[in-house]
Amino acid sequence: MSDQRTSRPDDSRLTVDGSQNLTAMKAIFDHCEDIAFDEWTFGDRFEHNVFTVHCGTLVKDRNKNHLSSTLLDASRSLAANEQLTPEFIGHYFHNQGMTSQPFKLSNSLTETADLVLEGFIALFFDGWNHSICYYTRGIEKRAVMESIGEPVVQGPREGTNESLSTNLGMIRQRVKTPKLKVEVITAGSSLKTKIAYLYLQDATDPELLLEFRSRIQGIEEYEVLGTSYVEDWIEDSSYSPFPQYRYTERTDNAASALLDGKILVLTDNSPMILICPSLFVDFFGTSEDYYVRTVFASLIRLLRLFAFFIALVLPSLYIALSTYHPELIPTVLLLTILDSREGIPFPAFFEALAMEVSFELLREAGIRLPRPVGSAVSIVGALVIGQAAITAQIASPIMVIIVALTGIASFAIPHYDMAIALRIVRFPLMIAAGILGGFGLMIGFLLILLHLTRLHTLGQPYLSSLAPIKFRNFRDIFVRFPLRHLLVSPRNRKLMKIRQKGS
Amino acid sequence: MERKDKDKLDTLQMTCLMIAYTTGSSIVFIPNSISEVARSTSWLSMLISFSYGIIVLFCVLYLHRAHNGVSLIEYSRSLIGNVLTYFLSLPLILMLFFSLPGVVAGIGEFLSSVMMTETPGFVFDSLIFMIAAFTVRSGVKVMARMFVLLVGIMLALTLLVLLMAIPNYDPLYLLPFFSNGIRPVLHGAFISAGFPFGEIFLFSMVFPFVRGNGKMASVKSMYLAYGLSGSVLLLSVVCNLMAFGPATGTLKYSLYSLASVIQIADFIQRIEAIVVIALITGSFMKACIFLFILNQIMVKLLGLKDENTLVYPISLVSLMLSLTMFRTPAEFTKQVYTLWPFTVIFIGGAILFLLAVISLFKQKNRTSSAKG
Repeated sequence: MSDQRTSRPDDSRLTVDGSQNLTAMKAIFDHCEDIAFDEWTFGDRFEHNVFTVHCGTLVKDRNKNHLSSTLLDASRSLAANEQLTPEFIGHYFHNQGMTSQPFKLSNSLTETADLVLEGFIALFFDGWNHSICYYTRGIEKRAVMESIGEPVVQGPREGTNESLSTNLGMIRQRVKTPKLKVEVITAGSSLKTKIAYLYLQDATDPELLLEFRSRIQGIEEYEVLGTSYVEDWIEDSSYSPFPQYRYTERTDNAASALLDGKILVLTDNSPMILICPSLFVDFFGTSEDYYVRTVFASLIRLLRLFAFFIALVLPSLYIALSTYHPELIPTVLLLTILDSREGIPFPAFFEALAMEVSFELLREAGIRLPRPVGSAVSIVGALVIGQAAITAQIASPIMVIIVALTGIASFAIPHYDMAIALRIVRFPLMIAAGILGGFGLMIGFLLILLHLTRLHTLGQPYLSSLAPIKFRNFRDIFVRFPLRHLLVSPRNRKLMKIRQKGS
Repeated sequence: MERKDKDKLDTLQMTCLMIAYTTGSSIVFIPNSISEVARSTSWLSMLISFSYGIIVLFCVLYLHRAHNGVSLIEYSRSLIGNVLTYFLSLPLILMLFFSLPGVVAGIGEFLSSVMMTETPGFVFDSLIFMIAAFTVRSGVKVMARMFVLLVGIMLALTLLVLLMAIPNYDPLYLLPFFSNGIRPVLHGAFISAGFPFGEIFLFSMVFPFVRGNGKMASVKSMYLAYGLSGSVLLLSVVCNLMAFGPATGTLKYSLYSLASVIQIADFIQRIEAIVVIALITGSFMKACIFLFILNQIMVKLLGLKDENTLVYPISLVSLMLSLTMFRTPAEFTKQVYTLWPFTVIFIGGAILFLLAVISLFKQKNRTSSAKG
């Protein structure tokens, strides 16, 4: 940043002539009515002119008089009969004299303008080619609340908000070590979004960090509105349905990801924390797994795995079995199915497709509508899908059960992105099952497996721990071992290794 | 062209490739073909052919270590010269152009005769070739990673079926020994020495991809993997014999038939699907490895820079072959169980043993000349 500033043309420099600075600033903020200009004078005969610039909508404490405190600070070190002059103020501030507030000095018009837009108040003294800027930003942000996206029954409830500094503070409060490194870059010429990435030194693989840094390069030129822009920028495969990074709105999640050696990305004005890289198996864990007892956590994880398969395969399995391999269904069950399908005008494939599509419609409509109307949609939808479709003999009751089970199972996946991936993959599988039955399903599975094995996240194999298989990590995948085994490995293993070497 | 050690396979991945290669498609097909000739003494045939396989594996590993982990083509170049290598690898390529379509045709025929009788065979064959080509193009690392999972699934499903069929077993079916003398037993050994045990000689094209450049971390685990595959196949043969007795040879897909007779508590029945999953996975893996080996031989022979250039052409040719080579299922049986074992033992085996002997002599000469 600093070399950019030195390369700017000289006409952006502040001059000694105060009125010239004022015109220049006013030209920069032409038609910006939220920028306030105030002119003052001081001295025995009111001979020194001063003007201040600030953004009225960003500054919190409008009544605080920064000019008078500046003058007071400078005059304290004067002898009794000396006069306060702009030269002396310049001299005082250049030598970092004691001031009642931290300040920034700038000798450039554009830099001062940038500072004003960040919430600084800038003071220009006639006869001194610098501006003094005080940080006075105070804008209302959403309070720290319980995160809506990731509720827990037990465990800490605080979630992130849209302020980068608040979020960083909450993470720093949990990870009290200088090894937690925070690096900030600014992206975009209009938005100037601050992007911070955090990692725990010694826990993060240095190669991973290098890869991350090389990928995030070049994002400075783009306008970044949220963390997902960064995700898109650094992800390995944008066309894969599977998410390669996951988000969290909980700082405890973020802290545990740091311990695992992940890199966190936070952007200003976005509550989402990006955890990269995220492996396939990471999408089946939640922070709550570590707040409940081992047995329960393990069983819940197995249940989630079951839900994953149900959500992925149940409709296509039904299509394949009922259309191509009815002999594989136990006789009594087969009779029930045949009985319920009596009078349905569509083959099972179209029936399933129609029901799944209408379920997706309902789900999407329910999300987008305002909350009071949303519940009405789900009631009407449930009635239409559930009751009326069966009475009208458009869908069989078994099909409704299957669609409902699939839907509920996909809600049991803790990460929304992964649930979306399942929704995307489910339909091709249904088509494969509709065309080629069980064989089509097998081919579909092999293709998905091949895709997942090929996929990388930040240069690491996406299926790590499963393929390439690492049995050591299995203690925290499908089940969760007691914490005393986990805290050594796999969580924080690298850190431990270094510690052991050091000792 | 030289790969870094990090980009190669570890021992576990290599063992899984080997299990996939050995048990892949044979786990469903082998019980029937051997039992057809050797009857209740099939297990002895298996043991004989397995010992043959161990000898072949020993030679492969010896050559691998003696030549710092380069492939069959490369060490044959240094042993017998470039021209002879071209001459010798021609039968290898032809063999693979038989076995690769053979594996896929086998599964295609199984599916169209048992599961989906109205679907034409080319649908199955072309889809399997398609994903096999995708997989091989993804590189050996991705393939190995994937196969570690798939081998686990395949073995687990097979063992599950064998376990659930326990109520149907009758050990008395394993008698009598040598009902027709020793010759049928040797015949059975001949078949299984070709398919699947002798085929391991082609694995000398895969071993270069294991870490260590010839100083493989664990030679023992290769033998262990081979032994494990042998035991699973043996178990499958024995279980089928115990379940069906003399009828085993007449049932075309014995393991499939075994699954279809399982009935536990009136609800767990007709679990053939499990066998079909194991079969498709196994055959898919075997087809992938064959395709990989064939591709490697061609790449090494022609000295191509891009390893993936030939994968699609080879798959397409093999697809055509798989559709035209076997006009009837009987022809398939004849070719796979009569011609293939012969080729594997007398051509494949011969090439390998020849190279091993030459290598041994050269090494002796080298050491003696070093001494003198």
